[in-house]
Amino acid sequence: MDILSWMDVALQKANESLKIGEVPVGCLFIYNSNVIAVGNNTVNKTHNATRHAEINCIDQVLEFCKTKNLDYKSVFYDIDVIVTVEPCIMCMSALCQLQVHNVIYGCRNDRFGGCISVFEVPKLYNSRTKIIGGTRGSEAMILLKEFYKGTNPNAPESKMKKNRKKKET
Amino acid sequence: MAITSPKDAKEGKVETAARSWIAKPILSSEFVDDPPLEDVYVGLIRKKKDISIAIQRVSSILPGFHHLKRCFSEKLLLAPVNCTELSTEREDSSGKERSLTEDKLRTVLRERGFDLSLLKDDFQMIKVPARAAKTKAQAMRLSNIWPLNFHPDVNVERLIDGSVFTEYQLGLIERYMNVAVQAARLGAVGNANCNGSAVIVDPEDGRILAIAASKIDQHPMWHAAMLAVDLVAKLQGGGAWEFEEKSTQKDTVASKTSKSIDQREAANRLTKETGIKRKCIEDTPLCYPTSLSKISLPKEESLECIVVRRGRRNNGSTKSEKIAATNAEKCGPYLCTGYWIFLLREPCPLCAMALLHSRVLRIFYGIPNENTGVLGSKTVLHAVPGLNHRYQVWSGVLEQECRQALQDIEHRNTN
Ligand SMILES: [Zn+2]
Ligand SMILES: [Zn+2]
Repeated sequence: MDILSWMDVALQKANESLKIGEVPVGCLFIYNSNVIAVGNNTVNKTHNATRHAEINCIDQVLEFCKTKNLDYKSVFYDIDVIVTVEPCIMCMSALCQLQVHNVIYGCRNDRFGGCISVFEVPKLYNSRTKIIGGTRGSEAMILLKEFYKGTNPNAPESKMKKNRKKKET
Repeated sequence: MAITSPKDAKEGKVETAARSWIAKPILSSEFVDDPPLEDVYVGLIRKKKDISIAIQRVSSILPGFHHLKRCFSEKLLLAPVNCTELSTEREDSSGKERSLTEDKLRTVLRERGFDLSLLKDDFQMIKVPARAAKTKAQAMRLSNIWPLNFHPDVNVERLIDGSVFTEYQLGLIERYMNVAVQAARLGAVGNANCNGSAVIVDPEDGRILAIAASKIDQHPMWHAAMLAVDLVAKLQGGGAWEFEEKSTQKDTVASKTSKSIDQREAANRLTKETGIKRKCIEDTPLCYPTSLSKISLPKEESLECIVVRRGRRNNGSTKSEKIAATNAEKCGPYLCTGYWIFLLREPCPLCAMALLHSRVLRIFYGIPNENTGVLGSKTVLHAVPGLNHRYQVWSGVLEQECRQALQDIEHRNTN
């Protein structure tokens, strides 16, 4: 499969995420041309604000390595990450630490982006990871906008926070 | 957060404990570095009696310089040389650059009805601060260059001079950091990029909710702060990681009581039904690794109710009560809202951003992380423009003990 088709799968995952009230971000980890992890945000489900799609995929890969008796370090080294939205600073830090091969994302993440938008995390790690943005970005953005459209930017501060609670990427 | 008045802070300082450390606030560069200077044109006022009319006229046709006195020793600020609004492109020896020429400025002033006879024929070019001072210290230095309009921000000044904390609070902060030091010594396995321990505290009642030490030998994402955040999620009905330890039978997350699992499940249901944060007092702290549960904990004392303590209970609802109510209102999936966290070492971007997503209120760490620290060393993450939550950060808490602990851990793990 090519990158565009993979991104379609990730977008489907993002769409599922939207339907269950989580931030619509979908993510795949590809290893030897196979999808070994598929994830979306589970922040509301876990009550843990760090449960982003990428972090969930990392856990799946570790599980995969355990059952296949593989060294996770060498597996991550060959992994391509396909994600609908630019990884946030936290997730980009995780992916740099794991030294994944490629990160291919859809739209930019103006709030928390860790590749270029808010802070360039890879610079801190002399990262080998190649980053390619803009694959099916507009479709990813449409999903995000769908999610955020209930938020009234003119609402008073406290109300805003309440509304936004469930809506952070 | 109970912010005591400066008066209260002074009262709290009556008995000054001899402390080996100072909590250094980690502020963005705009509070640390002086603003740059810029070239501006000034006109020299011919007659002193015309000063006020000249200021009035020039302010209405060329507004700006709000952070500066418009006129000083008969020099009237006219416009910055790099004034994008008025500038025209011109060639000079260094090539093309946009800047305002004196002739152009004179034309603009005349066209806008300024009486040029108020000023001497030739303008001067001088340097003045390009932006407003953010702190008293900056204002002192900058006012040697040109007099300022400066209004100190009380909260910023209290961060800088340290009066934001009373001696009493500093004593408590030291105790919590001491728990972090013990936790790191007992269990931390990290690496050069991130290492140490994390202690999450509810400042309202001083209760420790979670204690964690880095365990990257077990899982590459098990940095102390990441573990601590998930422990708090577990405490309040969620959580993602399963913590199992090979050594003991089927030991999951350690907690102080055996009935805690039931309580947690009850809390879990309540949280899911009501969306409201429930606390199981008997259940805290959750620890990972479980060996950390043997650390003896400091007595629970509120980190913030100093105002109440000072006998203002009759003044209707107190500040801290109001803040507690707001904290409760803010609860949701961001379960660390309002909490304080104590870290042995400055966090890496993974941990720092995890704490930002989790909405912790205050971060205290012992020693910097020169490799990948983003709360002071490599950058000041909480000052990066665009982020929608900002925590306050202090470094240097119990610095020597933290440094010694880190050295011992690193030594232990390389042998
Ligand atoms: Zn993320
Ligand atoms: Zn970390």
